[in-house]
Amino acid sequence: MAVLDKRRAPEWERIWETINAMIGVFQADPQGKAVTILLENVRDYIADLFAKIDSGAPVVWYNLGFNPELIFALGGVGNISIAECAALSSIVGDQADTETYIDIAEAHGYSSECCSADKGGMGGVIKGLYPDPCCMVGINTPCDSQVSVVSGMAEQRNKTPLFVIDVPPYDDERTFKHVAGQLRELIPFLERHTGRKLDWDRLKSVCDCTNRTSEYLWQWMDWRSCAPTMQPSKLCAMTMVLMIAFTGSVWGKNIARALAEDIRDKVQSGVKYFDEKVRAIWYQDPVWWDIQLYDWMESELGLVIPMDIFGYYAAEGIIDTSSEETILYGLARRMVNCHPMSRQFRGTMKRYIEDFMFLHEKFKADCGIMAGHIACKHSWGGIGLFKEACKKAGIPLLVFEFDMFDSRILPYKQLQFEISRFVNDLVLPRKARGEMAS
Amino acid sequence: MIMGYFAGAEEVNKVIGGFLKIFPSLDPILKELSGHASMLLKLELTDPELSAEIDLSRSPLEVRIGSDADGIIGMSCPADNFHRLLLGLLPMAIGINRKKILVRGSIGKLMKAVPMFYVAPAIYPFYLESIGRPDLIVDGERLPLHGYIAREDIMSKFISALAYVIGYALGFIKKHLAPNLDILTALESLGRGLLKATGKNPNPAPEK
Repeated sequence: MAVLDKRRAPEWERIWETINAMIGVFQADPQGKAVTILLENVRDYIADLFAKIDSGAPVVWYNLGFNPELIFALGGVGNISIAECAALSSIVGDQADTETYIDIAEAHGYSSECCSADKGGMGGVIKGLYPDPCCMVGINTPCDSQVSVVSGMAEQRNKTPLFVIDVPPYDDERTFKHVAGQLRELIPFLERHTGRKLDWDRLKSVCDCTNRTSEYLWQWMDWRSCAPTMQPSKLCAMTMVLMIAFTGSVWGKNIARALAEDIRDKVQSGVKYFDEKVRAIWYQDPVWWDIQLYDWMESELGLVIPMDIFGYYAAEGIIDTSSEETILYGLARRMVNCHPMSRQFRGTMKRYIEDFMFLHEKFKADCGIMAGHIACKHSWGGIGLFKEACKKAGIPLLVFEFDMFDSRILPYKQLQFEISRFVNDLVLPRKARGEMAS
Repeated sequence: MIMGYFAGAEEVNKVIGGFLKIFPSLDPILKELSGHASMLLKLELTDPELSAEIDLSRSPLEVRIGSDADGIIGMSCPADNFHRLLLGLLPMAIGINRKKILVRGSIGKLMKAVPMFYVAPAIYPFYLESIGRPDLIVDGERLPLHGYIAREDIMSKFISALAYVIGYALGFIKKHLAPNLDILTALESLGRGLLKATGKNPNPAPEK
């Protein structure tokens, strides 16, 4: 299916066709409005990106830990996270494409131990799915694998200017100021290579949009903490996608508002599609390669994921737009302390464990599920401390290995087996005996 | 929800399994609707049980009842929900969103499989009549099955109007002139015409 009446790479056409088909299918359910609005805004973003590409507008590439507000503030510049095709193919396209990108990256020498999001990103780059960038931004967040993928970007586009943001492994004022200083230096770099002048008034309205998005996300989290949580579990990881591609845009704001209003309406109307028996904090990467798994968990096990680490948006994200300095400080603080994973996966395990305990309490969870993405070495490195903390708090914890974008590491049936056994043999009996953490 | 349309596995096999066995004769139409995607759809019904596999990689497509293969994509639900889906009383979106139908596998492939079920409400009731089970044609609110916006070009509008007139004429003839008129055979002929006009071989050699 042509995108904006032009033939594109088949992978992009499959994404475009699937999104449009999903919108057509899900519009038939008036109570599934959040899903439809989410899909419509992703489609609008893709349409806008291709319109920019067709008009010859400059495009900036970046990796997973960067947020695109500064790019939006340049006006008329395309923003592409290089993991975009891999993620979109998994969530709203054909999973087989994502696995092909992973294989291409490995065949080109990228370490199989790297994150599949980054291998998928590199595979997309090698396959030529993205327009040539005028420049690139690399950042060493949200995880260790980013250092490798930024090197990969530099290697694949060794004549394209690259600006690297270094986020220290701390979360204090000095860190925010240090990152804000780098964002200040990034502005002339972006201006020089895109040929666009950053408009501070435009940046202010982009940040206002981000602030509104943040408020919707906090409302959404509050409503999702109500038990039972009747908005699908599969929607709880969307904050991550929103932060990487859409934050500061009207698409991001629309998605956050739709999610918040949908769950509010569901809580207020008391609509109920299944019996909630167990609430778990999913504390690692979602199963992107088949997000229908969450429907199975809800329907067959009564297991609900009210929040996960990709969905959690920490309550410190409002950007003060009164001056250039406060704007850059606010953007830096969000990128370091609100961006899912960037917040928890730097430095020590302290914040990782504290956030889990906070989510467990706020979302009235019965247990935790550490879906151990095989490439997340920072969390695997601290698994002993995390298990110990859960044991001390009396929180049942399931730990297993899988890959969020590659269905071949832990197949569907084994994943179902692990989760069923945990819920039916451990959590439900403990809950029945009244042995859960309060 | 009304429960218990089927007395047991044998009846589900006869009614729903029998209906699925019609699919190969509608191959050109179903392949057109599914974008000629090559895939295996595993269907798992419960209460009572029936498992089936719709193999769209074959030409004509094959339906295997009682298959224990996993399939590339999957759909599972109680037999009653599937029956309502076939009658057009349960749109796929509502089925998925409200956990009445569980699906698994690549969303891109699933979205290709879904339109195959859009034709079911037009033929399933006739099929039920043809096997002497009009009692299974239940009433209910018929919600839109999808939100696709019809194409606005003149040719699409003309073809839609023509198809409506043909459908109306068939219905009128069946009701007033020839109650034994076989709608499924008419659809099968429509599929053969579609194949012939698009230049595809209607009787290809089976794949090895």
